[in-house]
Amino acid sequence: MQIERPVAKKALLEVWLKTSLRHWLRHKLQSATLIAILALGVASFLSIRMANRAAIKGFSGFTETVTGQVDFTLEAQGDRFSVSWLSELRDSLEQHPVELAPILEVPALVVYPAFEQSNPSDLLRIPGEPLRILGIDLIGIQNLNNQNISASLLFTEEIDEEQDIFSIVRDPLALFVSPRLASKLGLTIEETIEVLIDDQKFSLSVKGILPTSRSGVDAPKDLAIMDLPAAMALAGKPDIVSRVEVMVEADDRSEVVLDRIRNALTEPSAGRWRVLQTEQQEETGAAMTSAFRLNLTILSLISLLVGLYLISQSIDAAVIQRRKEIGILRALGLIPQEIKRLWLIDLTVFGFLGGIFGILMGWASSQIVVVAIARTVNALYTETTARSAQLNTTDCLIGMGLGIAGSLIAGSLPLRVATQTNPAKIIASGRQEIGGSRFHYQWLGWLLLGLGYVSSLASPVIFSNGQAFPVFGYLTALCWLLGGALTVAGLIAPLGKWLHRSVSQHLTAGLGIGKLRLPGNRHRLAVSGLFVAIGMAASMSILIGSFETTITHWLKTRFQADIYIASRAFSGASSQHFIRVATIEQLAKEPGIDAVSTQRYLPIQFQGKQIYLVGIRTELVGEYEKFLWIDTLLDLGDMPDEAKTWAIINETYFYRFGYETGNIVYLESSKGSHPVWIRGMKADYGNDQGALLIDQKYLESWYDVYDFSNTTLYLSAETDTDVFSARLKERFPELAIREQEALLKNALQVFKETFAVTYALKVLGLFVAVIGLALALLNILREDVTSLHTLRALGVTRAERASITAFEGTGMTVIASLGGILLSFALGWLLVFVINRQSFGWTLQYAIPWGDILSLGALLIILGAVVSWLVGWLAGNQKPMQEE
Amino acid sequence: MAGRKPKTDAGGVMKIKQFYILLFALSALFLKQVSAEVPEFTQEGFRVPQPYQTLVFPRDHGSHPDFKIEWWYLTGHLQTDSERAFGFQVTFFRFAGPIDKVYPDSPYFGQSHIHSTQVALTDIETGEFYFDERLDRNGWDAFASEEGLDLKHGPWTMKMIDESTETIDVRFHIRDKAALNLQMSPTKPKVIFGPDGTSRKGSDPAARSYYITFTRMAVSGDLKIDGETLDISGEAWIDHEISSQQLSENLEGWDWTAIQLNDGREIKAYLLRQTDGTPSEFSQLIWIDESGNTVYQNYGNSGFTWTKQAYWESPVTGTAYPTTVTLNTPDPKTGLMRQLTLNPTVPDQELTGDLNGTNYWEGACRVTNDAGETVGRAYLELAGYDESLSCALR
Repeated sequence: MQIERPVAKKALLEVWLKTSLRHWLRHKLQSATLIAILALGVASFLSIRMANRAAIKGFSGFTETVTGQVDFTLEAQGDRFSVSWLSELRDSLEQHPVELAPILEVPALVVYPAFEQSNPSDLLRIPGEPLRILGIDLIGIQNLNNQNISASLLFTEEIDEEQDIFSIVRDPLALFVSPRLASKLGLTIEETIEVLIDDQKFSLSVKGILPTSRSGVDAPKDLAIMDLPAAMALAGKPDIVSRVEVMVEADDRSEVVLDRIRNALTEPSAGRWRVLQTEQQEETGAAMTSAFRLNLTILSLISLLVGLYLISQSIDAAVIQRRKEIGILRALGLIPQEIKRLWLIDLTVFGFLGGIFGILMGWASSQIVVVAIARTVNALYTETTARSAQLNTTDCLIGMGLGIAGSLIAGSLPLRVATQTNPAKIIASGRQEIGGSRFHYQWLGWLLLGLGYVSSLASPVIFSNGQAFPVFGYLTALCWLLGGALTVAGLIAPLGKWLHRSVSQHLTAGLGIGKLRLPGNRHRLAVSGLFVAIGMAASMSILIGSFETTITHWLKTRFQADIYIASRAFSGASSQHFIRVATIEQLAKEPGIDAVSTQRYLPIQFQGKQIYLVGIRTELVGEYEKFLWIDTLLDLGDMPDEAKTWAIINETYFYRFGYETGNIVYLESSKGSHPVWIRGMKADYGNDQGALLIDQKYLESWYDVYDFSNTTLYLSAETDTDVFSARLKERFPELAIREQEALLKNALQVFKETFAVTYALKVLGLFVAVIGLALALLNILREDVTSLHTLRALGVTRAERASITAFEGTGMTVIASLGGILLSFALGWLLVFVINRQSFGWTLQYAIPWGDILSLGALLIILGAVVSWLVGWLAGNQKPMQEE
Repeated sequence: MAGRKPKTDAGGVMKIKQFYILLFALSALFLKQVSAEVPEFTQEGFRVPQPYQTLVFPRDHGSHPDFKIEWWYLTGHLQTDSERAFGFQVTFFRFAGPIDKVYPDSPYFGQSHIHSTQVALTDIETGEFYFDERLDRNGWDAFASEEGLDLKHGPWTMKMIDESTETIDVRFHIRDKAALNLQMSPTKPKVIFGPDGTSRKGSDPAARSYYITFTRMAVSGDLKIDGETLDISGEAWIDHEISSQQLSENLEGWDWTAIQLNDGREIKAYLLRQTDGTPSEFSQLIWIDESGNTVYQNYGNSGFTWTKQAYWESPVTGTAYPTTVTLNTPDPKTGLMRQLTLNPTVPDQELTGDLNGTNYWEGACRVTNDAGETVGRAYLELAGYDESLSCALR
């Protein structure tokens, strides 16, 4: 029966200062470790959160520095907004207080000798400093009533007074660069820089350095500004802009006013452009990476969970260490509630300190993670401008909350032991078991495993931006982790008995393994933790293995041409660097070519979501262009009459929109709606947006697109590839000309680098597993001091006692590893067939990297044995019950 | 005052000012000594208005890109049925860029001309003064037709919609503060100023302009303000001036007014102020009678005088403007001296331009005689009272 009584808070605090604080100060290493573990959990979550935010902000921050706050953005299919539509817009807007800023984005590369000489062996390396030239009407922009950079461009201090407005807008090569780029390349006003745009090289003249905007925003390093007609001429687009930004210049910005303006912007469109509100545009940018970021967030939560496991073990260790102290306090008259409060103070202080350090560590690591994310996202999706992650109040509050809540949650189980401690029993160093009967609920384990399977069959949740979130896939993973942990904990005793039978003749093995026949909850907790860590690490291996197998197969099928050509600045499907028609015509005239294949990636909106329309030369499909087919091509004679042409879709498109081979889909362009028959489906691991391949001529007639993303050359049998390639490189210095073998090797390397983050996670999983095992064994030994005394009395040596612990630990590791490997097969299946397919629309070939997994298991068992032996050796020399 | 706040960033604004300053200064720099012959072109290669040239309408209401500077200036006085009164001003400028080289001119983003437009509305009842301005290159968002009067700058337009009646449609708004849709037709024939068909601005024979004016237009239309749409009517004045060289080098600024008298006559007067404080000999006052006939008077004892009665100091720029002035002029009809005093309807009608970099006062005035009786309405322009303009001319 518990006794209720009022306790003076001051007195309790004094007790805490004399006991807990003294303890933690005396055990500085243990305290620091506990805080560090907490901080690590908080930091990993926060850093991913901040990095994510920085990545999203990167999409929108860029233009904000140029035109100020944008209320609407007008975009046309394929980022091709015809300037002839601008007058219609102006007429439609009548007297609405609105400013229009047409903008042409021209991706470019600053090419300079030092960069060209560095690392020339990397074929996929972009050979220069990326630059995003924004073509803006430098005069029209003056009308914007904002705090932007570009408004003052014409009249910066650097510009010579003799130059007037006309001398700037009439200079077709005038460029304004960011201070950071100027400083990096040592650029000064009037200096000329070499810039690569598409497959052309230009010498531009630095007319000014972008000033800091009046609102204090620094220009991003890769931002450069040109007068719009000059940028149009450079890009070879005399009548096209990328988008039109719309600024509402009114005091009354109510929904009614914005709605009217939105209607006026939409009315004349007739399907030629779409009107996006700023938030929507940010979402569009963010949607591109949401699947990737989502996975990172989940990973960060998992790292927080494993952090909690470690905290739980550490606090349990502390409770055991301080059992005598608890007993004395109880004997001195403190009731369990007061003991609980003392420990709650401990946990809160640890949570608080862990939170503070976690926030600091999170901020620091996010600066690194941002770079990593930007690199990965750039490789897979599109260019981002994420530069650094900023810490805000919400982050700090979340960090502190996570730290304190994590500490309290993780400490709840050992806390129960502390409060239930019987003084007399504890002072006598009796055995005190943790937890209740929760680890005996094996039926619950099986139920969770079953529930997990059912959950894996459910469809993903689809967000408004069209991105799929495999919430039930993650739920399955959670069910299997928990259910598996309960099940494997229940298997310790039967497996322990079975193992004991074969080693019972051996003294140390028999004693060590024998302990597993009657496992305590600490055994169960440790094995569960190990099981989860191994399961996760091994399933990562399966995922990466599956990926590698699939990608290798896919790349080998895809890369069958002899020569691959793109602009030297080309960096993937989202790249805006193209090969112009004249160049293709010149290439085609080269002797020794059998066939010239081209591709053009055009981002278009399909049913409100972005997909890639890929222009190809359909006559080459089959004989030259090879695909990894999911549905082989249907007979052309089956094409319905209503279809204008046929297309090949990729698997992602099928999963995103549900259209399959044989269906007709309608593609919208400013020229109308075009029915297209789906003739086949191919595997495609190059994008997760969905792609539809049609003949290039339709890109030309429907979308006025006449350039190419890349081209591949099939050489005739008698042509020497090396000689041909060398000749081409000499003739077309602005093109990246790559041979098939080298490109394949390089592409695989990039995919491996992309998965570097998962290797880090595997190492973290193993680290947690081994540390968790060591802590658990230490606690078990400390707890069971009677056995230690007895063994000593029986003359068992220190080495033998260490061996006994080693066998006990190894037995636990073996059981956990076997269970964990089984779990990894299930999780691997889940990742490949449910989570990945639902997130990205990719089906990978399920491949178990046996070598990896078996070596992982073996490594863990060896590590388990060594660590257990060390724990036994160190603990065996201590006096029993080294307590306060 | 409810206009845009002046920019305080010295770098950006000073430079844009310098652009305008440069335009004016260039005019001054090339000013030559008096020559008997009127050159056909300026040294820069722009056409010079020629005496006794017959202007052809409606074409000459339109743009003349061979000339360097051109503007269409519209002011007026409006009232509602309930006698709520307003003043308004719209000025479309076109400046040509240097023509020493030939540049390919994109139809959407041209490089040959800059268009600058200012609009203002004075709410006499509330004392509010609203203004806005735009700056653009010739192209999709700013153009002036060479066929006839058809001007467009962003959402602001001025177009002759009926050539036989010379009816003009004008639409402009000032952000979300006010929006005006006006139709105006001349009640008197247009006037082409200058005895030889050109208006001289200095001793250099090239410093002259074609100066076409509708001195009285009947206006009707609607005005959206404070959430309501008001039917309005009133009278307006339209100037269209075409030149390639406007000013003399020793000028500090000018005071200019367009007076519409209640007796059906108008007066245009301008005082060109020289750096030594004296008025230029080219300062003039012109009487326009009911039929559109003109009588020219020079400044001085035998002509007209311009006396500054009271100043208003701008709280924004600190400039003191002589906003109350008295003109003494011999009335051509009676031969007697007339005293006309211009009193601003609202003191603060200063345009502190972000884009043109020149601060000036341009406002609706009430015109009273020596007995204090209201005899007409006027628009008064006071330029060069701060450094923004006078710096340029030195």
